[in-house]
Amino acid sequence: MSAIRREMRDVIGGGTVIAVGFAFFYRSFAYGVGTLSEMGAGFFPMVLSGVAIIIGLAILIDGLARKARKDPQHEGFALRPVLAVLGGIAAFALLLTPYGLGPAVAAAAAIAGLGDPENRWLNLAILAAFLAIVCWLIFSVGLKLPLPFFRGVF
Amino acid sequence: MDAVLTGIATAFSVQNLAFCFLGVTLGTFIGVLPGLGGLAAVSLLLPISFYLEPTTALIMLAGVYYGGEYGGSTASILLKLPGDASNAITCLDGHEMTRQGRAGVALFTAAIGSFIGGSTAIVLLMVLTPVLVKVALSFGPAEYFAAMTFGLLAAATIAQGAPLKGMAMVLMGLLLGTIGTDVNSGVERYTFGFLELLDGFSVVIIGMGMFGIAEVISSVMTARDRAYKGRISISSMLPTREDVRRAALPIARGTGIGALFGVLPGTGPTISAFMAYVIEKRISRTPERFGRGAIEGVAAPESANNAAAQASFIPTLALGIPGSASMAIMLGAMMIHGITPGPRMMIDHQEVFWGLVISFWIGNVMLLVLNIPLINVWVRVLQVPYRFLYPAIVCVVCIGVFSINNSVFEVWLVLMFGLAGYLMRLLGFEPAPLMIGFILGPMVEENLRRAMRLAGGDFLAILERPITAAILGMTALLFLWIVYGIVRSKTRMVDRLDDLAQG
Repeated sequence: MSAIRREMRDVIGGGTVIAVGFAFFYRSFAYGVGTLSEMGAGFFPMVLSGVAIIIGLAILIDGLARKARKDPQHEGFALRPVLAVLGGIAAFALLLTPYGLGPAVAAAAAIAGLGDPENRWLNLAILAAFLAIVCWLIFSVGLKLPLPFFRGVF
Repeated sequence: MDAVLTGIATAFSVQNLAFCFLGVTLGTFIGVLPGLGGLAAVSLLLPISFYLEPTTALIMLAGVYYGGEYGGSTASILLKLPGDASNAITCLDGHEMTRQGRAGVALFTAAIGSFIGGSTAIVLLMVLTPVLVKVALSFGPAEYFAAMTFGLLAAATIAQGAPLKGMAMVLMGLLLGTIGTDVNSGVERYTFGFLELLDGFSVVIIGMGMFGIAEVISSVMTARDRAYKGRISISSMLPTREDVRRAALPIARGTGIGALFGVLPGTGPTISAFMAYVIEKRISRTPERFGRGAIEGVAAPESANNAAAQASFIPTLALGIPGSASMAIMLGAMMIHGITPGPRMMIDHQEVFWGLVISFWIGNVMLLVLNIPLINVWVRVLQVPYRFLYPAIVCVVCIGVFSINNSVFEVWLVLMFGLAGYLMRLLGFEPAPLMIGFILGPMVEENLRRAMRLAGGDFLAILERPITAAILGMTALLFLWIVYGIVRSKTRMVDRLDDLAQG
């Protein structure tokens, strides 16, 4: 949970911007650059990613040049909520088509809920069942989305 | 005049009244939730609006947006948890008033200030938009390119955070906007064989991922163990004569600041609220009261952010150029409904504009009722522990994203954008400039290509157009000013505002 130091943040951030810039820059030539008066599909992304690489470099150098100092106000990486929330979304995506809305919502709610260590299994089971029914009532019954509660197994 | 009357008739139709009410209510509800502001609210409810006709959909979504601005102040005042960045400054004195047992007065002041700020900006919207439309009619592709470039630079650098990082985020947004089929040549760019990417990313996915999921992840820990116990009685909301005297001028000044900054590109509700607070503290004869429950510290920023929220519709509707990330998503919403904002819309579909403007009035009156007599409904919402609320938010985001195209692929995308948005936050990169870049990207490219084709590939030729030259000159000046600022002090503008606000 310790906050990432500020100069490290800039080095990582600048490096990522450079990497993304290069990926777009490299591909842009394949789409045809063209001329100023008749620009090809690759022209605009080529210019943008070129500028992005320069800006990324500036951020990176700024980070490297800065003296190390702690920045306690900044929030640190919270692994548990990240895994739980993203895991909940993944469960929804995996379960929706084969098993229907009910199981997908219940699983998403239960897994996402694990992000807060205070949530107990019983709480989560009740919450999951409640949300599955409420979401089904709102979206399938109310808004008439084509999402059956159960699918496949029944 | 006919168009105004048609607008009144449109806004007062039973269906539009109902959806305006639904919009402001849901907007307030989502705005009250910690971490979720107007922008997340609009992207969350955008899929639902697909089933409505365009004018009704816009009335509802706009209601969601400014309703979110009202709701955000409630959590700031009661829990010191800003619903949105634009309410952050209200926490300082608002929450202090709550601790002194004056939560009711703070909430009342916020609602009244919001109403006055919002209504004044609507008048400005009615007067200024037609004027701006006349100017915009003489715009060709070169002028649009110049104006959008200025907007992008302003969004990247003035609003929040370090200017270099803001620029990097705008560029990332512009690059994300190039993904999909190029409209000019039909070439598929950066799709990597995914058929789902042929039309590019949906604005809803980026909005929900970077503003919804990312905010939820970081709120799981920060919003724990905070619940307001107790109720707000109507009698406790009534301000004393002294309160009224103290709050009157800050509301007026906050409104002016918000209306001004709302129209300018890149400076939305957040910067307006900060500015309003700092100015009140500066000119106050008793600055030591700020941070200790001064009513001015609630009145000024809350008037300013709502004035800015309404005023930011001016450039969006008249030019089709959004000044803030929230307006970028509103613009995206309009385009999904087949309405392209800009001077043509203002002439061909006047009834849409006036219908929307009149609905703003109606919505603001509804919000006054929702936030004063019905305040306890929102207090109850805040009494539900966040650990039960956020799994529900995650589920609604998933269903909402899926329902755009009935595609599970987009749910996976929202997962990726959520993670990216969270990591960006940790690294100190703001998602708002990315959003503006993403929406404006295809328009910038289109106008640049057309302008260069008309000019025969001679970039200097477009500088012979006076408006283009003036706007590009302003862009260059802004750029130089930013570079000068970085080199000279290496401190961020918001950092300085933060210091001023706190120290």
